[in-house]
Amino acid sequence: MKGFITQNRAKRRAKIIKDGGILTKDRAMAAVSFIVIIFVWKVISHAAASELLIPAPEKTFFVLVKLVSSEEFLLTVWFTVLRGLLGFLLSLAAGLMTGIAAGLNKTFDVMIRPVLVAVRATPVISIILLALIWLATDLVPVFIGFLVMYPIISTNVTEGVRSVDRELVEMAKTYRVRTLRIIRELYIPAISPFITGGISNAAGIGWKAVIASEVLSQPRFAIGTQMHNSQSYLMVAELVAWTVIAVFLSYIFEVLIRFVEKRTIVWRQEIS
Amino acid sequence: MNLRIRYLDKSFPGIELYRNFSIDFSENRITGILGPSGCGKTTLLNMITGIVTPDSGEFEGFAGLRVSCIFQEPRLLPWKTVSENVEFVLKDLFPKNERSQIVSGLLEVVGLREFAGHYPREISSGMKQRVAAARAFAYPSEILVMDEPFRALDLKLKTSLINSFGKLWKTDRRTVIFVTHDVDEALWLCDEIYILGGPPVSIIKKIAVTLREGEQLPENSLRETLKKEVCKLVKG
Repeated sequence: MKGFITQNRAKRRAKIIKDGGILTKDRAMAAVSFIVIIFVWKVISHAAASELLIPAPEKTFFVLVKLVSSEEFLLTVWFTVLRGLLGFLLSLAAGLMTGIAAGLNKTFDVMIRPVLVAVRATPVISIILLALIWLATDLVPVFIGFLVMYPIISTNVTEGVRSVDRELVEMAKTYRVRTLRIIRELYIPAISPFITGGISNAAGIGWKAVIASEVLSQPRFAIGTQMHNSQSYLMVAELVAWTVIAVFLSYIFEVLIRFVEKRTIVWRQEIS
Repeated sequence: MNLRIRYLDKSFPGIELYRNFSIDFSENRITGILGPSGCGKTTLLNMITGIVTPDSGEFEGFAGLRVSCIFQEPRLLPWKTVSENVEFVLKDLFPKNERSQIVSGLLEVVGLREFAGHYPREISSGMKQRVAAARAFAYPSEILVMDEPFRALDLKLKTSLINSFGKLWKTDRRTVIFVTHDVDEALWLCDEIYILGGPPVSIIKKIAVTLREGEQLPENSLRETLKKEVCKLVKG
């Protein structure tokens, strides 16, 4: 028995060392890829020979630094993030409610499914144009973010509820474990990998939709509005700089989601 | 007080599993239920644990009693460690200190104390089933139901687990209802054995087993005779 566990620990240690090695290698490869992108960008901008078509990377970098140090930068980023966050929280709350209900109740699932399919299939631009008629400019990106993210989260939660091991629930009921504890200690940990998976998918798509709707709805402080203005005045370097900022923010969200995901599924990590 | 089930009826679509079925279980003894696969043994346990509701019937002496279970599979929560899995069924009943004492005491008895912080996927299947046994004995139940808990194990693991179970039961005797299709297991562990047939389920014979000698399987002629008789009855 002792041999069994010693072997396990040794395997785990070996895996951590191996993972560490893979991580360093991955980072090096990502850095190489980044350098290649910048290089290709530089070559194309040189060939285009026009800053109105493709600005050089160094020019974009200077514009980026200027933007970041401007007075309105933080407000612009903050309001866009806030709209995205509001849309996300609304979709998470609604997705959890309908997702759990659909996972537990077949009839509700059959009823909600066409709604989710319809929302998913409708082109985002149609919803944005309609929302522009219905809502205040500040709310349009929130609404769009919600509509884009909600079906993804709801579907994932439903799958999560369905995946809960009925035998574990039976066991807990036999031992008369309180319903609230069954939800907290059995259902939620079982569903959490599906929720974080859904969030990860939804956040990427939702972020793009929020910025796209900002471009059309033009709220006072918004990354989308800034992109639209840059395009209107043919300040292409500024437009690309805002795009870089949007991508960077999306990357930060992804890192945060991965961090939460890792913490919630620590028990799943392979040891052999 | 003995536990009694009277006039039990239970049907599923297309099959009448129990019709006017009655059975008694002796207090603080191990009662075995033997029968061929699909004869309704697990359904009987599920009705005792409340997982399945009978169509009608009287459960005398069961009211207010707590039931713990050792299932065919360990049924451990994969996101909880060994000790947290045992503690899971105690949280509504005992304060933290008392829980820790109960858990470490039982893990000691089943020989898993040094694995308390491990997740289920980090231990072997035999160890998992021992955790399930520790959890069943940690829970302050009056009745312990066991649904073929040794089924998926090889002979060595089975022997080790039956010994663990024997140790636990000797220190804390409860009314045990043990479903199995393995005649050796039943003769080894039980004080009395019901041989069931059906459906609809009926008791073919009740046998009192008087051969229990410590934890060793006695190989004598009386036991062999009993085994032959039971095998013949089970096979019909």
